[in-house]
Amino acid sequence: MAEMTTSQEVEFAPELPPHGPVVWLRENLFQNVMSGVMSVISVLVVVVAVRGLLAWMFNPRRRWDAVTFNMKLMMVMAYPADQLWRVWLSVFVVIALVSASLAVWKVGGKAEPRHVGRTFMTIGGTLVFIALVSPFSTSGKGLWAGAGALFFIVGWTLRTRLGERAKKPLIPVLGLVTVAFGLIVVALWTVKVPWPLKEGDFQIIVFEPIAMSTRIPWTMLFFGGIVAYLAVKVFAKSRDGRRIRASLTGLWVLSFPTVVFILLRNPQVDVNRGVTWYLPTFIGFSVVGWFVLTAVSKNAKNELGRVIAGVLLIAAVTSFVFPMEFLIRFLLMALAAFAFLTPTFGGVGPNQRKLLYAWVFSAGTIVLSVWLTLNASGIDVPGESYLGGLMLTIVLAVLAVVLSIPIGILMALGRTSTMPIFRLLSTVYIELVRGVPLITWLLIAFIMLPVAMPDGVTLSGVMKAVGAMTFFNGAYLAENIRGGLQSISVGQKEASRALGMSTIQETVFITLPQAIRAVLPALVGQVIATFKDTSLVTIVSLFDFLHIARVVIPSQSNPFVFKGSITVTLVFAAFVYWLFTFAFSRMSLRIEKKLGVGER
Amino acid sequence: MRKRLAVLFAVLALVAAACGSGEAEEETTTTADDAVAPAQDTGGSTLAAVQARGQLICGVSGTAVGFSETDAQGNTTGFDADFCRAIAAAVLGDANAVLFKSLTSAERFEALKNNAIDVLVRNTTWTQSRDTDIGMQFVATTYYDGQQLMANPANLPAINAGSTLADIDGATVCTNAGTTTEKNITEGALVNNVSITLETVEIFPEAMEKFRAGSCDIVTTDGSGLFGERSAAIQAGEEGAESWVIFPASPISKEPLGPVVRQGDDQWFDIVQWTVFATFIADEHGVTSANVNDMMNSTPELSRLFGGEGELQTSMGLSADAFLQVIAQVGNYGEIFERNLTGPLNLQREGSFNMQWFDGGLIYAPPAR
Repeated sequence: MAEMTTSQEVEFAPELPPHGPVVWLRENLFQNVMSGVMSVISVLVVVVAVRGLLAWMFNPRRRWDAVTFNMKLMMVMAYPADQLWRVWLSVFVVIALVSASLAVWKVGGKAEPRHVGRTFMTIGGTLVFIALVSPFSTSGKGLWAGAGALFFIVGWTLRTRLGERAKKPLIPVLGLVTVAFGLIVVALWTVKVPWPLKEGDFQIIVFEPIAMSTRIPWTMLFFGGIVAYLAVKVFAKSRDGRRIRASLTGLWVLSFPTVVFILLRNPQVDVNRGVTWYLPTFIGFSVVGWFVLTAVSKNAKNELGRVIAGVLLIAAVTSFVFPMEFLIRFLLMALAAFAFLTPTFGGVGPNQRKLLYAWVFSAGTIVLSVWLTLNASGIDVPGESYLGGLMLTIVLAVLAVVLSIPIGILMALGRTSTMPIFRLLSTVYIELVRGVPLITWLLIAFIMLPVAMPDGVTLSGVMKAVGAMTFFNGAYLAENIRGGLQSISVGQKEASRALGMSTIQETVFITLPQAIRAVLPALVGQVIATFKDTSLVTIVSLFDFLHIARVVIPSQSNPFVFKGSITVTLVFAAFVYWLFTFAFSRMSLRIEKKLGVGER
Repeated sequence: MRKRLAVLFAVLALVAAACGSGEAEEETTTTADDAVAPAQDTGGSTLAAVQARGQLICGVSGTAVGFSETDAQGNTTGFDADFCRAIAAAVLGDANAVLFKSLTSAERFEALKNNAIDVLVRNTTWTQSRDTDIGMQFVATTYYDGQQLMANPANLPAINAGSTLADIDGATVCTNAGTTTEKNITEGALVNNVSITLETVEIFPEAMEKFRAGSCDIVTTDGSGLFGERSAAIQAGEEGAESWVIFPASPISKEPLGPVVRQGDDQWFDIVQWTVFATFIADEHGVTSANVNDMMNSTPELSRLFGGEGELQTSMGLSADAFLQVIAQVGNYGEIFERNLTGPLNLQREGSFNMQWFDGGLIYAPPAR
C-alpha cells in the first residue's frame, strides 16, 4: 500500500509556475509602485518619440528627393558612369566570397520554429505598435497594422500549432535570410521613390520607380550570391574541408588587391615591354631565387644560410640608393624576406617545395602588379580623384585597417621586445602618434608632406589620407595587441622554448595567435572607430560620404535646388553608417563565439 | 663549396644587371589613383606648364552655391567653374580641359603658393592683406558681392526692407564661423551701438536650419547667398519664405570676388585677366556664344579681340583665336551670370553692381586695342 502511494506521488507532474501575459506584466513592468510609474513614463516617451520621428519622416515637405536624386553622387561621386561596372564587380567579388564562406564554414545552421515564431511575433507587434501610434491616415494605419497582423499570425502559428515539432531545428537560417533579401529585391522592382521635377518656377516631388541602373545590378548580385553559395556547397562536398578553407582564406587575402585594382586601374597594357622586360625579369628571379632558397634551406643550420640572407638584405637596401627600376627593388626585398624566413618555415621535403612554389607565386604577383600599375590608366574622371562618397569612405577604412595591421603587430612586438633599440623606437612611435589628434596628422600629411617630397613625386589626396590614417591606426592597434601579448602567461613561452622553437616560431605559432584572439573585441572596436574616423578627411577637401551628405548636396542649385535638405541627408547618412557598423559588430560577435573568446 | 660560391655570384650578377638596365629608364613614381603632374614642374612659366600638361588645374570650392558646386554626376559647375573653363578655352582651346581641385577656405592660399593649382577661382574676397601677401595677386573682380542680413518678419516684426543695423538691437544673429562675415557683423554692431547675440555654426546650411526653427532671428552672409536661400525656399514652396526680408539695401561690407594667381608670373596674370575682360567686352557688345561667329568682325574692337589682327593674343603667348574659343565654348559674362546665378537661384543682375558700367554697374573692361 505504502509502495503504491509512493509510485503515484512520483508520477505527479511538477506544478507549472504561474504564467501568462498578466503575470509577465506584473513581474516585469509593475513589480511595485515605483517600477509601475517608470514603466508608464518610458512607454509614453517611446510613443512620443516614435510618433514624432514618423511624422517627421513621412511629412510630404521632407526633401527625400535630395537623397534619391543624388544617390550616385553619395555612393561613388565622380566615378564615370560607363565604368560603374567596376564598382558592381567589386561588390560582387565581396558578395561571392561572403556566400562561399557561408557555405564552407557552414554558418547559420537550423533554427527551431518556436524561436523563429517569436521573432516574427516581435516584428508583427512592432508594426502594429507603429500603426497605432503613427500620425498616418486611416488607410496608412490599416496597411501597417495589416502587415503586422500577418507577421504576428504566422509567428503565433509557428509557436503553437506545430506541437512538439516546434522544438526541433527545422528552419534553415540562411534560407530565411535569403527570403528577406529576396523581399528587398522585389521591393526594388515595385517601390516608387521621390524624385524632383521642375514645374514652372516651382520644384515639386513626384514618385518614380527606381532606376533600372540600380535594380538590375542588385538583382544580379542577389542571384549571383545564391549561385556562388550553391556552387561552392556542391564543390566542397566531396573534398578535403581543410584545404578548401585554406584556399578560401587565400582568396579573401587576394580579393583586397584585386578590388583595388578593379576600381582604380584600367591599364593600357604595353605587350612589347611585357615580353622584353617583365617576363625575363620574372623568369630570372624565379630561377635564381629557386636556387638561392634551396641553398639557404640546405644550410639552414650553419652560417652560410644566414650569410646569403644577409647579403641579399644588404643588396635590397643598397638598391634604394642606386637608380634602378622599382620592380628590382621590390623583388630583392621579397627575396631577402624569403631567405630570412626559410630556416623557420622551409625545412626539408614537402615544406621546402611549398616555400619554393610560394616564392615563384610571389615573384609573379609582384611582377604582374608592377607591370599593370605602371601602365597608363584608361579611367578618366572629372575632378581630382577617382574616389568619393561611400566608396571613398569604405576604401579609406579598409586600406587603413589592412595596412595598419602589420604595423600594429610589429610595433607591439617591438615594444615588448627585450632588445632596447627596438623597444625605444616603437615606444617613441606609439607615444608620439597617439599623443597627437588624427586631424593634425591629416593636415601634416596634406600641407607638410608636399614640401618634404622630392621633385617630381606627387601623392594623390587619397594616398596621403590613407598614409596618415594607417600611421595613426597602427599605434592604436599596437597598444591593443600589446595588451593581448601581456595576457599570455610566461609558461607558454617557456613551453615553446622547451620544444626547441626559435623566437620567430614561438611568436608566430604560439603567442601572437593567442594574443590576437584575446583582444579581438578591442580590435573590432578599433575597426569601427576607423570607419567612422574616415569622415575627418573632409578637412583636407576629400569628398567622403558624410561631407557629400552634409555640405555638397545642400549647396546644389543646378538642375535642382536642394537647400534646406540637410536634415534629410544627415539622417540618411546616419542610417548608412549605422547599417555598416551594426553589421560589423554582429559579425564580430559570431566570430568571437566561434573562437570561444570570453568563455575561458 | 664551389656550388655555394656560384649561388652568391648569381645574386651579385643579378644586382649588377639590374643596376645597369635600370639607369637608362628611371621611372617616376606614379600613385595608383592619379598620375597628374604638379601644377608647375619647374620654376618656369605657368603657361608653359599648363600647355605641357594639356590641362588647367583650377582651385574651386565645390560647395559654394551657384559659384562652384558639385552636381549629381560629380561634375563641378557654377559661376567660378565657368571662369576656370574660360581660361582653359583661352589657353588650350578646350573648355573641358580643366581639372577642378576642391579646396577648403583654409587650404586655398597654400595650394596656390605650393604650385598645386594654376589659378584660384574660389569666391575669394579681394582684400588688402591678401593682395599684398607674398605669393598672391588678385586679377580682376568677376562678382561684386556684399554682406547683408535676412530676417523672418514672423519673429522680428519691426524689420522691413528699409531697416539698417541700428534696428537689430537684441536680436540673435547666426552665421558660419571663421569667415569675414563674423567679423563684419561684430564691427557693424559695435559701430551702430546695438547689442546682438552672435551664434556661429560650422557651415551655413546649419545656420539656415536654426533660422527656420526660429532659434535665430537673423542670418547673415553674402547677399548672393541670402537671395539664393530665399529663392530656393520659395521654389520649394516653403511657407512664409516670400516674406523673409533681406536688408539693409546697401550691404554692410564690400566683397569683390575674383580669380587669384601666383605672384611673379606676369604673363599668366595677363592671360587670366584678359580672359575675364574678354567675357566683359563680349557682354558689352552683345556677343554671345550663339552669335560670336557672325559678329566677330562687326566692329574693329571685336575683330581685334577675336583674332582678326593676330598679334594682340599671340604676343601674350596664346593662339590668335583664344578669346573666340572662350566666347564660343563658355559664353560672355552675362551668359555665365544667367546660366549659374539667375537661372537656378533667381539672383537678378539688374540693379546690382554687376551690370555694365553704362547701366550703372561696375563691370568695366579696358579697351581691346
